[in-house]
Amino acid sequence: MKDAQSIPCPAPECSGTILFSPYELLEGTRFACTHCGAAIQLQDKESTQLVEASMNRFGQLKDGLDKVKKANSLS
Amino acid sequence: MDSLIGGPLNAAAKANAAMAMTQTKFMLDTCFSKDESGNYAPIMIKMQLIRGVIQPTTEASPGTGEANPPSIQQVTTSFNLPLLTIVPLNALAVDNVDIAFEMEVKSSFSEETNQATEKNISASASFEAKVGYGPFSATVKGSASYDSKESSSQNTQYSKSNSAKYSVAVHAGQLPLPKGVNTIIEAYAQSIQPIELPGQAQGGTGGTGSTGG
Repeated sequence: MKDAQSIPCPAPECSGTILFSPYELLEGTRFACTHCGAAIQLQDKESTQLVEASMNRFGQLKDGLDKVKKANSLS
Repeated sequence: MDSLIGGPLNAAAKANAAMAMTQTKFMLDTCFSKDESGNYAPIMIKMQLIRGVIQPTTEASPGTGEANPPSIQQVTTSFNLPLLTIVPLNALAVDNVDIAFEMEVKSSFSEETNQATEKNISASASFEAKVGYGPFSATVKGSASYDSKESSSQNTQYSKSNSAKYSVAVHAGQLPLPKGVNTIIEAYAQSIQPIELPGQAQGGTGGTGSTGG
């Protein structure tokens, strides 16, 4: 899963963790808690656009840093 | 050795420090909004939580006389999540620094001693003697010389060579996010757990409710 993130499961009385990929979340994928099976997804267009804009900015920043890392022989 | 190993590691450390600053700046610019008084507030996104809920058997309806079997219904709940928890900030860190090189150290020592001795001895002598006996006389003249030359030479050469081969491998693992950034992310991530408010239907202020999570 590319750039996997995790959040604690928001379901009441569940102590599980939900692993998700922000890129797949943008494509409408649901991610389920391994403990209780509750799934999360983005709710509306506005939130999707917000996440998309943030991930675009993040991608640009990461590309720039990757070039610096490469130039300094860092991985 | 210090500069060979420390140089690339220092470069990695400096790069990470610069990236930590970049991460923080990115986090504040992208995941927070700033109000007029300069306070930062997290930007929230709306998420859905879809969960199956078992509906128990319901009572028999008067028309059919049959009880409805238990069923699973999808219940969707909305919740707000800070944008900060979505963005994989830790992907910006330098995760691996591998430095591998081979080096050979050579030292050599050489000593040369030259000793030369020369000895010259020379001597000479002459003599003359006259001998007379009646009408006869004789003269004896002689000379002797001695010449000696002695020379010796000693040449000593001593050389020593040391050679060592080193194979150096330095590995630095992934650096975690700055602790402050982690704390902020964790605080917001934990805050998405719902809280059950005390019931107000009975008009009581007594707390029968419990906190969830």
